[in-house]
Amino acid sequence: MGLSFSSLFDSLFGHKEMRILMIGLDGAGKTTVLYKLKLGEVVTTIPTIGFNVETVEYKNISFTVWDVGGQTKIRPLWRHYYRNTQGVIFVVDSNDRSRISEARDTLQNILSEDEIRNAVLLVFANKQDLPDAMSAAEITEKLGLQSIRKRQWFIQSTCATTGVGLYEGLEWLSTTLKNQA
Amino acid sequence: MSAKTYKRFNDSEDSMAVFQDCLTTFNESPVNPNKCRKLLSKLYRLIINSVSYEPIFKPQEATSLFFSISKLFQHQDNDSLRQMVYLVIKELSSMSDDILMATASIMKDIQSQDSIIKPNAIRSLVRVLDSSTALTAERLLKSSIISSNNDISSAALVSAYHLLEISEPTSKRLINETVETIDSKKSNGKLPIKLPASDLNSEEFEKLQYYSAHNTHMSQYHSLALASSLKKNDEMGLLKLIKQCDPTTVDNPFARMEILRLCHRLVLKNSSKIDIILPYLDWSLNGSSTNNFIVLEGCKIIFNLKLRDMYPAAIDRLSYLINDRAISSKFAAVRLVSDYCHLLTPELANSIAADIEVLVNNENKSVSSYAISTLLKIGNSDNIESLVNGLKGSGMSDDFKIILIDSLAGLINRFPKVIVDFLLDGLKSHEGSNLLKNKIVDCLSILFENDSMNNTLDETFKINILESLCDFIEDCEYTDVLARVIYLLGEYGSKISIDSSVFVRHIYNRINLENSIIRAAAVTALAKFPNITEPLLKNIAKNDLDDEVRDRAVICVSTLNHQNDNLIPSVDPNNLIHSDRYLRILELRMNKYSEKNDFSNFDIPAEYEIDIKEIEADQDMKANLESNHLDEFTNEADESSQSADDGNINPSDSILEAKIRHKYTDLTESVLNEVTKSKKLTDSTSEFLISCQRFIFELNDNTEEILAFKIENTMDFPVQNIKILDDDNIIENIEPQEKVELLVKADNVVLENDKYWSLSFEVDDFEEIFEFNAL
Repeated sequence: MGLSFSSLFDSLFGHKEMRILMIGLDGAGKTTVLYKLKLGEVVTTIPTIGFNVETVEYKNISFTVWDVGGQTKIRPLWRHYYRNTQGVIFVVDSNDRSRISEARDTLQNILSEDEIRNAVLLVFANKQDLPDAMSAAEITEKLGLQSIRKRQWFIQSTCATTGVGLYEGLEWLSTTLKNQA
Repeated sequence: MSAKTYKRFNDSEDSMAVFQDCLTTFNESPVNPNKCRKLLSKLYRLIINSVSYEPIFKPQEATSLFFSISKLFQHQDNDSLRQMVYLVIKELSSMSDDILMATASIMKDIQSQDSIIKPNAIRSLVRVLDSSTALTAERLLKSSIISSNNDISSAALVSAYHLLEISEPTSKRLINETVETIDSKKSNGKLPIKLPASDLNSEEFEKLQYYSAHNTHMSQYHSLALASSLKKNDEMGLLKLIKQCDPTTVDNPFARMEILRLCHRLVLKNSSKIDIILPYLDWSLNGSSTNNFIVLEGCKIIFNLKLRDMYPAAIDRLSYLINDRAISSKFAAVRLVSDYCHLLTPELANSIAADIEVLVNNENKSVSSYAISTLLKIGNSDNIESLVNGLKGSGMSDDFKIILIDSLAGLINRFPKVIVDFLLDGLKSHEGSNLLKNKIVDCLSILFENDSMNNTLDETFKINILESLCDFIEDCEYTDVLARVIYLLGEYGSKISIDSSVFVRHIYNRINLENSIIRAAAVTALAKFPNITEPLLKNIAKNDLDDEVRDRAVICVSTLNHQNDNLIPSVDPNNLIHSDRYLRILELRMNKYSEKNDFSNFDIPAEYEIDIKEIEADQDMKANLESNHLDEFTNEADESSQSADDGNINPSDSILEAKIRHKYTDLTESVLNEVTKSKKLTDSTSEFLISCQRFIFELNDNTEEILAFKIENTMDFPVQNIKILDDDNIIENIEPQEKVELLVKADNVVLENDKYWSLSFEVDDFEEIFEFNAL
């Protein structure tokens, strides 16, 4: 009974589906983020050759999250998954200072893509539990996020292994996307 | 849907329409699984029904299809959709780029508990892997191979087999699991065979019946095939494997067959292992429940290994098969007899011929053609004429005509008239492939050659044939056939006693009309009629546009002037062995000539005889070796080859000695003092098999030592620029399985106290070093 009510409720009061593309350099923690959200637990991962896709329910919205591998040979293939994407989650390894400029270039490249000009941008400053991690503010600056025009963006410091910050990120996505619609 | 309402799928469905449909539907969000599944079936049908050799989609199209389909992975809970996705991915994997994109998703499915899509996923996985990603699949394949579910285990075994081509090391890591499976899949000890009578109606019993009816034990075959290819260079491992999988106890017929073949391969490599196969051969012929194809395989092996004692049993079984109801059995049996009938004693051949004669009138053309061809080969039939006449206009395919002509070649000297009629018909007909026409010319050459030695044919018959050939060259589209026929006309037309100007006219016509290859052949042929053609040839020597044609004409004219027919050794292009030998002689001679650094005089006749001897010695030795092998199989002693073995001088040594003397001219005067036995320096599984012999020469109290290496490349790719130690001699290229000899002066290499020597070689311009034991 309760179930049928809720589905009826959903159809009347905006149960939504959202397509999210999660990208970032290799080793940033995308797959760990995905399965922490999906299963609530930390899984052992291997470098993703290809992609993982899961549906995550949060606050009446079902997010279809596409976690696409970040290895250099796979990055050119991200473009196949741009279409219909409403939100991009860009995951950064906050501890990897040596590659932060590579992350910036990669991000700037994607943002110039026409197919996702309307998508909102959420940056996960991941691996905050590590001692030498850069703060969200530092990453904002290093990624050049302030210079972004005509796009809503948000940066959230996270730690995928403990789950800290992940739902805050989803919260921002859901409110932003609801307001857009 | 009933059969009446079933509407045939529209074959002419435009592939582009399906393509567009797929792109839009698969990219929808959320996806509609039923619609997608139907579309995928359409797409699959299009792909597998495309008949052209070109892939149906261009790489770019296939890639966008592939990526759209990859989006269907978001739909989790629909097995039938996922199975279709895998089928299509398998097909697209050869056309699309960047197929690695599906890897992670497929792996996730393999890890899932769902046993329905798991086999599909495993089989697709291997299509998207490349050498850099293969290792990540190892753990998944391992656990799937040992799965108790036969479908999963089969899929993993087959995938591991395909993985051999992509990443051999990964497959090799699976060997333990593979061997384990063979044992665990044997039916005894799996399920209780007998159930208590009270259970006869129980659900459990039905399940068991279903299981035994549907379990084909296919994974036995798969694991055996994989294990044997993983161990293909490891004889001990293979023997162990065979012991483990006695064909009388494994359940799958294909697996039994594979074991027979495996034994066969082993025995071919190492004839001392003949004992392992004998009991199985007996079993394959006499086993009561064996399949026909196992009987056939057994017979084939018996003939191949020349196990004469078992011929009668094999022929007996074959005659059963010839009388089998199934047309495929008849066909396979008669083909086997046709391939091996030259081995049979006349009594055996006669006994099987009686069975085969029934097949001559079989309605299946393939069977009847083979039957006729076999009877012709057995050749004791009284009605050869009627057989051959029956062949005319029977509308056989070229392939069968070729088989027939091969059998006719053996008979043409005994029944020339009727066979020549048949051949000329085939030659003149406008149909027929190049190969077929070449075979016919082969056959005619045999006839003429035999006649030129034994003079068996009468003159008018020969003139008739030659005149037919003259007609033929007027209208022939194959350059090589035409050139060979012109040769025949020149060679044998010139020997006819009547006025041969008619042949000259026909040949000369070709000079005016045909391409340079044929003109060149015609020049040589014309030179056989010197009395008539000398002015013609002089004219050609001046005026022809082609170098080769002019050169030939010049040589012919100058030969005529010198009146010395022996200046150019006559070489018969129709005799392939002969011309092959001629090329080898020429090569040897040219090498000698260029090594001498004396370019004044290229003296052909002087060295002709020596070379022939050398090459013939080489061939004799090969023949001896072969017959030795046969003897080991049949345990029959052949005195001639025995004496060659017992003699002091090993023929292969003397050939090597000749080669050494030929290469190092400063040794010409020396005396060969000692030859060591050939010693293997590598073990049988290494990349190169190397053996070495020492040749010690003595000249004026100096000794000179030459090392003769024999090197075999056991890898499956060619290697370049091979040299041993620091010697200057370089072999440019060794193909897979090729054996080469390398002669090195011992002075040129450092030999003191070295435990290992090295051989350097290049693969794709990368230099690599291979170390092996020193002598």
